[in-house]
Amino acid sequence: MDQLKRLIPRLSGMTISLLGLSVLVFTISRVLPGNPARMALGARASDEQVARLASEMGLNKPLAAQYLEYISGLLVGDLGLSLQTRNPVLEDIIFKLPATLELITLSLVLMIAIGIPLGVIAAQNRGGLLDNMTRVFAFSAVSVPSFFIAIVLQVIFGFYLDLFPITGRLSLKYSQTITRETGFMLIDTLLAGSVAAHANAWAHLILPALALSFGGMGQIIRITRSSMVDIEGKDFIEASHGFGLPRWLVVYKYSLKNAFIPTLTIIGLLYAWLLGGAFIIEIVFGWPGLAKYGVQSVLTTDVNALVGVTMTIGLMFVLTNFIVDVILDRIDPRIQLAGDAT
Amino acid sequence: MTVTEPVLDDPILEVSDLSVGFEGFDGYADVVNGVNLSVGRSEIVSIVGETGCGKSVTTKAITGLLDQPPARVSGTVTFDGTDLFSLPQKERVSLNGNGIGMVSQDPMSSLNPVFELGEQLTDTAQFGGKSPSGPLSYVRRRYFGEDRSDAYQRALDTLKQVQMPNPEGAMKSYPNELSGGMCQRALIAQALLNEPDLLIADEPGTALDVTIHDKILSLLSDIIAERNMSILMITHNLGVARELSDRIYIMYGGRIVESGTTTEIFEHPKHPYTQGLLASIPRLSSDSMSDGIDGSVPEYVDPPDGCRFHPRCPYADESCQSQQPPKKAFSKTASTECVRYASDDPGPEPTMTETRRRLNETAISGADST
Amino acid sequence: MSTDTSTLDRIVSPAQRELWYRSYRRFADQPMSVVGAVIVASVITLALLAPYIAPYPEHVGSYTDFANSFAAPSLDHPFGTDKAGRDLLTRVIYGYRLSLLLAGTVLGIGVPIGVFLGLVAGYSGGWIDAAIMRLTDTFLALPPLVLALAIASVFEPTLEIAIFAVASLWWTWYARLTRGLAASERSKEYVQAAELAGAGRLHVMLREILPNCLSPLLVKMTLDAGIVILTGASLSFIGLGVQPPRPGLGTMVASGTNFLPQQWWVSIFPGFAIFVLVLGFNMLGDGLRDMFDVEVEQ
Repeated sequence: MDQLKRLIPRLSGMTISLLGLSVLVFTISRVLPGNPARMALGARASDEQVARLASEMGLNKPLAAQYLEYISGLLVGDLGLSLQTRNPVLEDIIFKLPATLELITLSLVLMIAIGIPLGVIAAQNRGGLLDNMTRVFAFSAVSVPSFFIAIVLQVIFGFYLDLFPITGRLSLKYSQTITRETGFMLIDTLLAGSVAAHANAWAHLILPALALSFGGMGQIIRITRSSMVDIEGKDFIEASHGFGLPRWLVVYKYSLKNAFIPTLTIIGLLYAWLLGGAFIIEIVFGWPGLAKYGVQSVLTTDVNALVGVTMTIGLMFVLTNFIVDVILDRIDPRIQLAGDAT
Repeated sequence: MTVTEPVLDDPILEVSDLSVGFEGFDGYADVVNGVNLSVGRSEIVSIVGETGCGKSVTTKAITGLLDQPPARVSGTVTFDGTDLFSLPQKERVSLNGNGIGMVSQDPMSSLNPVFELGEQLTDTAQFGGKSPSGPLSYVRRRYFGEDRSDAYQRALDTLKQVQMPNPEGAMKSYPNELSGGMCQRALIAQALLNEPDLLIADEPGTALDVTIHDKILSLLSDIIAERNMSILMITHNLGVARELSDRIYIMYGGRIVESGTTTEIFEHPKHPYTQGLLASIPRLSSDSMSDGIDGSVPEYVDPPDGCRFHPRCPYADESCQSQQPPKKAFSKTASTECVRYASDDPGPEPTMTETRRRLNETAISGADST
Repeated sequence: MSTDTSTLDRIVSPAQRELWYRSYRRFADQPMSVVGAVIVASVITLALLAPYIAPYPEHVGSYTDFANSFAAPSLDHPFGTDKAGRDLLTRVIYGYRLSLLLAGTVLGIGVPIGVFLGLVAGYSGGWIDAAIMRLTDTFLALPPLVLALAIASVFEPTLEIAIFAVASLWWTWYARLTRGLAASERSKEYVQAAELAGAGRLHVMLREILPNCLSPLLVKMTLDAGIVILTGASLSFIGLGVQPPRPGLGTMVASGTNFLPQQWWVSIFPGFAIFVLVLGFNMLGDGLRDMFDVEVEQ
């Protein structure tokens, strides 16, 4: 497929980026002060025990050798052991990743599902009250700290209105009955056949996902609005009006597809932003995801976990960008013709 | 309308006292200033003028493509007896494509780049100018209706009529995969899909190179012969106008300064501007060729007083500045707006030889152009 | 033409004044931009004058007055007091100082580095360009918070380290932006003229190309100020930025989370303060963007 051929340079660029990332993160983790082996065993362990663990962990070898060991381990799926949990890091990551993915995916969906229509409405209503209100909202959404909006949502919907729970993924009374199949609470509750639990999972998801989605939503609104305004002035849209096509068709089909492209371009960036922002949200909402694990590994100098989490996030980011590139390539024929012009 | 205005019987399009202005940063730009024109049934009419004289704006006002702020449109446009400006928006939209078809100026930028040509054409065939359909009926008819394949076929047939090479392939292509000439044909096809009675063509083929331009023009004459439509054509090229039109309007500075049949214009031009244009056409036979008319189109925010052409006119004097020259009719079709033709004017009536002489004079003497 | 031109005309030609006036109109006609400018100016003033206008400057550090602990907002304490009885209004004002310090330092470090590297990359082209771009790609592959976290935890988690952590990432955006601008300026006439005149590469980069890149850079810096402050606040919130008892805005929000919703003012006022400042920078930056009529990659 020549689509594949077009994307190969992208792929190699990304591999290089990932490699660079791994070097960077690895170096940082090995430069962390404190003896990881000591921290793992605690203050009461004897020096020989620490030394033995250290040599087991390979901490005495030269940095380059450690890195090579690590990379070779990485490729076969061995990310080392987590010092906090004593489990293989890979296991920990696989266990905690779905929670974060669920959160992030719903946030992305909310961002797009709310952001794009609002942007279109604002553009259609240009200069009017609706437009101004939407713009103020968009500005506010990108300016508010995510932890703040999280707290505000908790206070309003959790405390005062008592509509949604404010921590965790599932209320206690349900978590006993649901077994973990995929790690995705929405799916697992369905698999267990409990509609109540499923609804409960949604109730737990909605506030954190909403809080996380604000920043990106604001950006999407603004970009959609400005590209819709931009497109409306183009010759081909004027021509469409001249051919007597109904107005809503020209706007929602012919303009929107063009305007969607700039939005799609930033979705990769947004995803990175989401991954970073998830940290805060997971902490505020007590969400047992990867981000929380990552923060803890930073605070406890859990080197393997830290590198593992960072690499995972880097990989997810690279993958998302790749997927976005694939989609863009499919819907915008101009890219196909131009090839990779970077 | 004054008595001296030439009037057509039963025109398909009639424009009276059309004025268009734009509210801009620097002030109000008075771009079209009281234009009167008409197009008869099965007639080909050209509007000829330099870039910036307001011809495109006029056609956009006719088809209703101007956003009312920042534009301000006044006057009347009657199509087939219906007053266009008083129509509600939805009916106005269905008129486009159905009664009036418009071919825009730049073919490469007038087709939507992210949709296949077939999609755009079939949508136009199925939904262009039809009584307004909502989103639900759109989805139903586009994906499930039998008229979809009829529309597709119609689009394909029209492409063949405009002599599109490999029409099936073209339907599946994206606009940026097509050449300029092919895009122009596609655009013409799209305008013809719903069998309009009036086709408005804005500088057809100008953006393309000369050989293609020629082909497009001959395509247009073929279509005209076949379909018995009226055409209102915009061009800055007198030669093109001569080849295809029955009647010509010469436009300058937002006004029609002269009108007449093609013969009348080319054999008995009246207005100094028209004469200047004709004098500038290079001739294959020897004979002097004037250097063209010095100067450029007037600024619309602060236009010249009186006749807008007077800064460049070789016959100008003070009476040109003080008043808008009255329109004088010479026949059922010919008219001009020039003080020199007013019944009480003492000055000489402009003639071709005299105009040529005066233009060459100013060119030689290097008088400064405004 | 009269030779008696006014002094003003000699310094700034009428044509230039016209241009500035139009730009100013583009800015001032938008109410949001003006509001943004007012907010930023006010906050900066507040921060500069903090020691003189804050009602209880001694509350900034580790002051305790448990009798007054958790006082609700009142005339005495418009923002209430925190657990230790410290006046929140004062602490918020001083918190603004820290935020602005953060933004100023991060940009002060990141921008020169990024711009310089970007100029080099864009002007040189070739493998230098490619190498620098690969470097930035690597940094860009990380969500800022992650790397900032990693760095902040390597050393002691303090404001200064947080600044360093965030700055170490920030330069990449400026490198990219400047590189794009420099690359397109490179082929312009004034650059070639300078080169022909024998100007050294450094001169061309700094004295010729750079001044023409200033508008987009200024816009981006303004918008970034807001983002840096948000990132810093998030780091403080987690515990890796400003440490108590220093009045970091994010830190203050974190300290109040356990006391929601009853003692809501402890978290809400500092959080709202962050919001207002960032909003100001965003609106101002947007207005500047309209004024200079540039496209800035966010």
